[in-house]
Amino acid sequence: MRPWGKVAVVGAYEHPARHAPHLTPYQLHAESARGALADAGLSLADVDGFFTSGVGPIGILSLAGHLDLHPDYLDSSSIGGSSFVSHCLHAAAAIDAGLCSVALVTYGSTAASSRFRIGTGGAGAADPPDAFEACYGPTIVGSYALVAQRHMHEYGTTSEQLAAIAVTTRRHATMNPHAKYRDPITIDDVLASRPISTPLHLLDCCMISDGGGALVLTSAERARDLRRRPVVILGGAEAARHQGVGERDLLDIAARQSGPTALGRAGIGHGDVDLCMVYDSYTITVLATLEALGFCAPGEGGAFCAGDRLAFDGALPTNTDGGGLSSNHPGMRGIFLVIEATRQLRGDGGMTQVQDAEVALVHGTGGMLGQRHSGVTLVLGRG
Amino acid sequence: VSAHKYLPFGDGSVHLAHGGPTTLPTVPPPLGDGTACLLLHAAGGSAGAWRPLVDAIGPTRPWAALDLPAHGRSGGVAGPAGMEAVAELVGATLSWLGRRPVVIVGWGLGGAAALAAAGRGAAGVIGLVLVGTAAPFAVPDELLAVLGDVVRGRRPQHFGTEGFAPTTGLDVMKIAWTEQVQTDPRVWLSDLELLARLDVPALARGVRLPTLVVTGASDRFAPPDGARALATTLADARVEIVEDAGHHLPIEQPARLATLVAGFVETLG
Repeated sequence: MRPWGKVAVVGAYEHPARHAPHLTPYQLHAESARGALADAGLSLADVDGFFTSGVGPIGILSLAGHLDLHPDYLDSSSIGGSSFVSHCLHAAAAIDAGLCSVALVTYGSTAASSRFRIGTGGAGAADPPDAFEACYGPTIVGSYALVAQRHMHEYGTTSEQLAAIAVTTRRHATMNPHAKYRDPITIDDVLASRPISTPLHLLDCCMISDGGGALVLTSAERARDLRRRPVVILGGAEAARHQGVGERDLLDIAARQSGPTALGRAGIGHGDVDLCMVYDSYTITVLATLEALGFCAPGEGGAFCAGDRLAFDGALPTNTDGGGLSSNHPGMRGIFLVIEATRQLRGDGGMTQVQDAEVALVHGTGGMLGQRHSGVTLVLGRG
Repeated sequence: VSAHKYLPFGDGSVHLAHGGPTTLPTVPPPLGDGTACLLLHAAGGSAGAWRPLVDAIGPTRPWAALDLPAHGRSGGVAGPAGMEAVAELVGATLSWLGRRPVVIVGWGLGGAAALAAAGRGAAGVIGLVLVGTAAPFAVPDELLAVLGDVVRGRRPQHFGTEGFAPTTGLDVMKIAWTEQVQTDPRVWLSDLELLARLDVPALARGVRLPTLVVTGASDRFAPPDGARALATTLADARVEIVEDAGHHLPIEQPARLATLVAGFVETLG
C-alpha cells in the first residue's frame, strides 16, 4: 500500500499576523484552521484526523478540545520545525490506510510577542545527550555557524555566496504583502549587519515572528469534489541525523537521505522540480540542503546559490514567499513551506508566481544542523 | 495592578491597559468615578511606560493607557503613518469606553496624538496635558542615524541617554529601557521620522480645550522653548518646566508630574 498520488492538500491558510500579542497560540491555531477549512470548503465536523506540534507533550488534546474536534486519528509528532511537513506525510499514510479521511494540520505561535529566544537561547537539558553538550553552552545559531564554517573550510564557500540567498529571499518578501521585512537589501547590507555567530550575520538568520497556518488533506478522489484545485503528494521521506561526540560530520545532512528517497518514490528527477521550498533558518541551511538534496554536487552549493538562480524567475525558484529570513518564522516554519508550495501549484503565487509550476519540492529541517536534526522531504504536484 | 483589554482596530487589535476592576472581553471597563486620564505614550513607547505615573497618581484617579498599533502589546508590524489614523483610534477608544469627562495625557508622539484627537472634537475630552511635546519637535539627526543602523542590523538595540536629564540615575533609565524593548526599533524609527516632519502648530491651531504643557528642563526632543512656542499656538494653555527631567519626564519625575496633572484636573472642575 503506497499513498503516492492518492492524497491531496485541499485547503491551505497562512495567518497574516506577524506580531500578534493580542492573540494566543491557540487563537492562531483556531483562526488558521478556520481559514484552511473554508479554503477547502469543509467544516470542523468533517475533520477526523488531527495533526499538530509545538503545543506541549499532550497539548494536542487541549487543542482538540479548544477546536471541539473529535478525531479518530491523532498525531503530534515533534521533530522540530519540520514536524508539520512530516505531518503531511503521516496524514497521507493515514488517509491511504483508511485511518482517517480528512486531516487537519495546524500551527500557531507567539514566539515574538512572548519574547522566545529561539536561536540564541541556551540549550535545554531534557535529552540524555544534553548532559554532554548543554554544559558547554551551545546555541542553535552556533551549531549552524559551525556547519557554515566547515563548508567554507572544505570548499571555499564565501560569506557573499551565503548573503546572496538572503538577498534573493528578501526580493521575494518585497512582493509578499504580509512579509515582516519588505525593504530590499544588498549583499553589502548582509555583510554589514552585525555578526551573530561567525560567519553568520544578523541578515543570514531567520527572524522570530508570531504566526500560524493550517492545511487540510484528504484523498485525491474526494479532492475532485472540493472547492480548490488539489495539490497531490507525489512522494515523501523522512530522515534523522544524530552526530555523536567524536564522530561529527558537520556536512552530513538528513536531506541527503530523505531527498533521493522522496524523489524516487515520486518517480521524478531533479530536472522535474519547478520550485523548492526549503527551511531557511539560516542562509547556510538553504545552501547545505539544496546541495544535500542533490541539486548540485557537494561543495558547489555556494556558486549554485549565488546570482539569481533561486529567484522566482530563476532556474530553481526557492522560498518564493520570502521565507523565514524575511516573511515569518514563529519558531517551527515547516507548515509555511507546504502552504507556499500549495499556493504556487494552484497558481496563487501572486507577484512571485513561478511560471507553469507543476512540481514543488518541500524540505523541512528540524532541530540543529551539525547536531541532532530531522529532514523531511515532500514532493507535491499540481492535481 | 492594571487590567488589560484588546480592542479591534483596523486589521488587528490594540491593547488598552486600565485601572479599576476588569470586565469580560467585550465589556468596557468602568475605570472608576470622576474625570479619567487617557494616557498616550511617546515614540517607540508603550502603555507600560506610564506605570510610575499611575503609581504616583494613586488608585483613585481613573485611567486607561493605549498601545498604538505595533507598539507594546498591540498587534501589527508598522507604526502610524500619520496623525489622522491615531486620532481616529483615540476617538474610537473613547467612544468604546463610553466615558466622559476625560483628560488626554499625551507624551511626545502621544501629545501630538492628543492634539489631533482634540482637533477632531473627540467626545468627552475636557482638557489636555501635553508632556514632552513641542512645536516643532527636535528629533536629533544622530539618533535617526543610530536607529537606521539598528534596523539594518548594523548595531544592536540602542540604549541611549539622550532622553534623560544629566542628573537621572541608571536605575531610572533601566525602567525606560525595559519598556523600550517592548516595541520593534523599526516602529520607533518610523515614529521619530513622523515627528520630525510633523506640523505641530497646524495640529494645535484648532484646539480650544484647556491645556497644560509640561516639559523637562533637559528635554532634547521637546525643549522648553519649543514647549512655550506650542503653548502660544493654543487658545488656553499654561506651561510648566520640570527640573531634573529630560524627555522621559513621566519616568524621571513621576511624582511631580502626578501633582501637576492632579492640579490641572482640579481646575477643570
